[in-house]
Amino acid sequence: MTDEAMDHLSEEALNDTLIGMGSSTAELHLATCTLCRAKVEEFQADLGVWNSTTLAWSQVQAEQGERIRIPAPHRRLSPAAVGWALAAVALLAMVIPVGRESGVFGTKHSAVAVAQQEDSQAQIAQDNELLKEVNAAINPDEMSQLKEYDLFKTPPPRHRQRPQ
Amino acid sequence: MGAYAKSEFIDMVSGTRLEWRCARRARAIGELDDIDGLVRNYRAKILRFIAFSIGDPDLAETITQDTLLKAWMGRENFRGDCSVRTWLTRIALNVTRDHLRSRKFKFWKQTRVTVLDMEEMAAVLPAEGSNPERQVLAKEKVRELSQAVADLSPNQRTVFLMRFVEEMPVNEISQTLGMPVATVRTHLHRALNAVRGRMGAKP
Repeated sequence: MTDEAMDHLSEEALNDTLIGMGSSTAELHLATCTLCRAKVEEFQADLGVWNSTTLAWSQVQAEQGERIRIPAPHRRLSPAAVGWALAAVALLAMVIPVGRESGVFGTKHSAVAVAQQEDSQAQIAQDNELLKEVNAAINPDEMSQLKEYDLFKTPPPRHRQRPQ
Repeated sequence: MGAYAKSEFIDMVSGTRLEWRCARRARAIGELDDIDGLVRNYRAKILRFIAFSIGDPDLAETITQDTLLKAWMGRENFRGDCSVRTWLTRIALNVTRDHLRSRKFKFWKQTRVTVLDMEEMAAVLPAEGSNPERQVLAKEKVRELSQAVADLSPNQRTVFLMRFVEEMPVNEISQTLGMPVATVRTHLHRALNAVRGRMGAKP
């Protein structure tokens, strides 16, 4: 059967073949019909030239284009982490003024406390002196001069009995 | 299939598919890890696809860079259900869509006109053979086909490029675009009629 005598593929069938959805009947026809096969091959050849040319063009464009820069990696905080951080900041903002007022952090009264500590050192020395004197007064082994010479008739205030 | 029950056979097939997909995913992630290799292998292809999709080579360059960066940064999301090239094409389509929607693009569209230069494109025709007549004819074909593609409607152009430039099968185009296979086929038929008509195909 010559090409003129046979039924050729419709445009739809040709298009289906070109897009890769050709039926087995169309494939069989193409195997025997030079005219239809030429149509398919002509399009494929044109497409081949176009593809290689456009790829060469885009390669030139890509080479001329600037180098792709990778942005510096930055860790994105999760919403939960951001929430916890904000909650911590809010808590600190509330606790610090209260602590300062109440002296928990020792910020308000620290100078006073240090002064008191210094005072108490002197006080301790004074107290020690007093205690020595008292000790001397009440210790029976160390006879005081007052007692020895019976100069001190009344008992010391510590031993004085309370009135009933 | 006599030796196996139907369910066993299905399990075997799906298991093999899963293994194959996992292997492909691992291979692809290895490929995607290398940003230089990614740029070397795919930059020109993506640039061509986008340049012909939107007809603006300058914006295509920007979108290509965005696409490659997005792919590299999101490489862990690659599921392995398609080739890297198809995955990149999907990303390129999304990035292009985002750019076209943005006000920035509309502004630039109004203020500058950079279109694909068909003469420039035909000038880079790879020298295959030294016959000057064939070279002239080939340049003419390239110019005609480029213009025919540029004149297609956006949908027809996208499916034409996906099928004949990216060499994606029709069902993959359908999945990528979320378009029924029949619609993809219709767009392809119309695109082919227009392109082949322009190229002087005899009915």
